[in-house]
Amino acid sequence: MRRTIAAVAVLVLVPASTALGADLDELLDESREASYSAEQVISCSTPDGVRDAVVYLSQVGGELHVTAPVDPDVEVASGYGGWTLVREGSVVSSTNVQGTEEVPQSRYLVDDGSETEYLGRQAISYQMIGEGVVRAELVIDAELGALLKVATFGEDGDVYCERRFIAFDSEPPTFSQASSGSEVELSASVLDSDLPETLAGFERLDVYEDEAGFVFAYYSDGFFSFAVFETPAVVTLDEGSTTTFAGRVYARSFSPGQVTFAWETRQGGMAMVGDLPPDMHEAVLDGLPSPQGPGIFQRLWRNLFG
Amino acid sequence: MTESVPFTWEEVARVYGRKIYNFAYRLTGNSDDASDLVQEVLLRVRKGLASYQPGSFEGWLWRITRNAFLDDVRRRNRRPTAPLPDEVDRWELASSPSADTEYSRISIGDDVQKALLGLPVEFREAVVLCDIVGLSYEEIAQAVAVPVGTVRSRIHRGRKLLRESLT
Amino acid sequence: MNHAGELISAYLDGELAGSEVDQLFGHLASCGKCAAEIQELQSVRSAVRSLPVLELPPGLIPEADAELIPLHRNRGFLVGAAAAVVVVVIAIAAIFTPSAATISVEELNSRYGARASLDPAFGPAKVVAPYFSDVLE
Repeated sequence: MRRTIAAVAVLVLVPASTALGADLDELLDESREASYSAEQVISCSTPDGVRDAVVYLSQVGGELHVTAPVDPDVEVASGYGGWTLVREGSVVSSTNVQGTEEVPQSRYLVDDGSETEYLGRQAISYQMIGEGVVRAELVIDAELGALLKVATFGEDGDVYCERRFIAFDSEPPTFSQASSGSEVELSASVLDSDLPETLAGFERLDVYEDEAGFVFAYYSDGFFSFAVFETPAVVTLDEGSTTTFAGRVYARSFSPGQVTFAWETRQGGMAMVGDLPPDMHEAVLDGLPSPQGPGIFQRLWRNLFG
Repeated sequence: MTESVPFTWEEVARVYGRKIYNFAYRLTGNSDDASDLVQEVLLRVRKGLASYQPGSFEGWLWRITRNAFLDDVRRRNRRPTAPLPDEVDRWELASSPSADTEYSRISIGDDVQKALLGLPVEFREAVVLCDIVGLSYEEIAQAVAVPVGTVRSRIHRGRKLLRESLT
Repeated sequence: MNHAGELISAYLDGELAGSEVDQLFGHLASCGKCAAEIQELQSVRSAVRSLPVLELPPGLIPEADAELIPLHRNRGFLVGAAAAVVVVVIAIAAIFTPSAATISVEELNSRYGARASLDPAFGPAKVVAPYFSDVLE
C-alpha cells in the first residue's frame, strides 16, 4: 500500500533539480525495507583485470543476506543498523558499529529519473552526475524500491563496476535472523585523529578506535565511500599487485566492487578499503601518510626488540 | 543454597519485585518507565507461570524481564528493527525526583546513572544485569541469549565507555 | 593477543578460569597500560555497584512486602585484593617479547562493511563481495 503511494509520489513530485537527491534518498530508504530475493552479478573492469562475482541476495525486515552459489559455506549477513556478520563454515565473525548521525554533503546531482523497464519490471532510472560527468546510474524498482542495477563510471565515462540483478523474486524470503554473536563492537569516538576531515572531495564521517589498537575512519562523498585504517600491525594482502603513485609504492588488490590498498609507515600498517573508482585513488592516497617502504615497520620493530 | 521456587505470581512479585524495579530503573533512568516495566513483567510472568517448566527459574524470569524491556525499546524505535537497536533508545532522566526515590541526590549517583543511560542498550543491560542484579555471566548469557564470550565483551566495553563518561 | 582486554573485566567479576588468570598475570608482568586499566575499571565497577538500592513506588505491587533479598550476590571473590596482587606482579621483572602482528583483509572488510551498512546507499549497491572472489575463476 505504502509502496504504491511512494511510487506515485516519485512520478509526480520529481522536481527540477531542487530535490538534489532528496527523492533518491527516500527511494533508497524504501529499498531497504523491501523484501525480495535476487541473484546479482557484480562485474568490474579494473586496472588489474576483470573481477566478477555472482551472489544471492535476500532481504527482509531490514536485513540483507548474501551468499555465493559456488560456496554455500560462506555467508555474509548485514543489517541496516551497522552490523556485518561473516560465516565461513562454523567460524563466525561479526562487527557492529554505531555511527554518528553525520551526513556528507553529496557532491552529486541527481536527475529527474526516467521510466524504464528492467527484468520485466517497471523501473525508474536515475543518473548521478559529478562535475558534469555521469558517475553512477541506478535502476530502481518502481514497486518495491529495490536497486535492480547500479553502474559506476570512471571520469572518462568508462564503466568501472556494474551490479545487476539477473533474477528477482518479490516473494518475501524467509530466513532466521542472523544471531548477533558480536565479536567486535565499535562506537564512533570523538578522537583527535590525524586523519584529515576532508580528503579529495570526501568527508570524514566517523572515526573508530578499538581494543586491538585499530583506528579507522569512514569517508563518503555522498555515494562512494572508503575506510582508512591505521593499525599497529602490518596488513597482508593475499593477492594483488603493487602500484606506484609519484614514486610511492602501495600494495593493491581489486575484488568485485571494492579495492584495497595497504602500505606501511613508521607507526605501523595502513590500509584503504572502498568502492571508489580508480580515477579517484591517487588523490585520496595523496592526502594520507605516505608509505615509508615495504618492511619498514618490521625492520624498526626488530631493531628495537631484537 | 536451596530456595523454593515461587509458585504464585504474588510470591514472584513479593520476592523479585524490588529487583526487577531496580533493573528497570537503572536501564531507563526514570520511575514511570520502570514502574510500567515491572507491571508488564509481572503480567507476563502471570501468563507464563502456567506453562513454566521446572528448570532455572531465575534464568526464565530474567529472560522475560529483559525481553519486556527490549520490546518497549523497539516500540519506541520507529526504524526497522536491526538485531542490535542502537540510537533511539535514550531514556531521559526524570527531571525531578519523585517520592519513591529514597536515596539522597548525591551527585556521584546521578553521574553514574547518566553515564549508564549513555551506553548503547546491549552494553547497558549487560552491565546492569551484572552489577545491579548480580547475575553471573552464565546467567546473563541465558537471559540475553548470546554466548558467554559476548557477555564478557559487552560488559567490558560498557565499563570502558562508562569510564570515558565519568572522567 | 596484544592486550588483556576483556580478561580484565572478567577477572574483576570473578569469571576467569584458572588458566586465564595465569594468562592475565603473565601479560600484566610487562604491560603498565593494562595494570592501569584494571585500577580504572575497578573504580567504574564499584561506582555502579554502589548505586543505592531503590524501594518500590508505594502501591505499585501491593503484594510485595518489604522482602529483603540482597541485590548483590556475594561470590566470595575479594576484588579488593586485586590491587595488591597487581602491584606484586608488576614488580616482577619480565622479558618483553612482542611480535609484529599482521591483520587480515577479512578484519578490514568486516569493519568497513559494518560501517558501510549505515550508508543510505547501502544494499545491493554496496554488498561486500570480496569474501567470494577467491572462489570464482
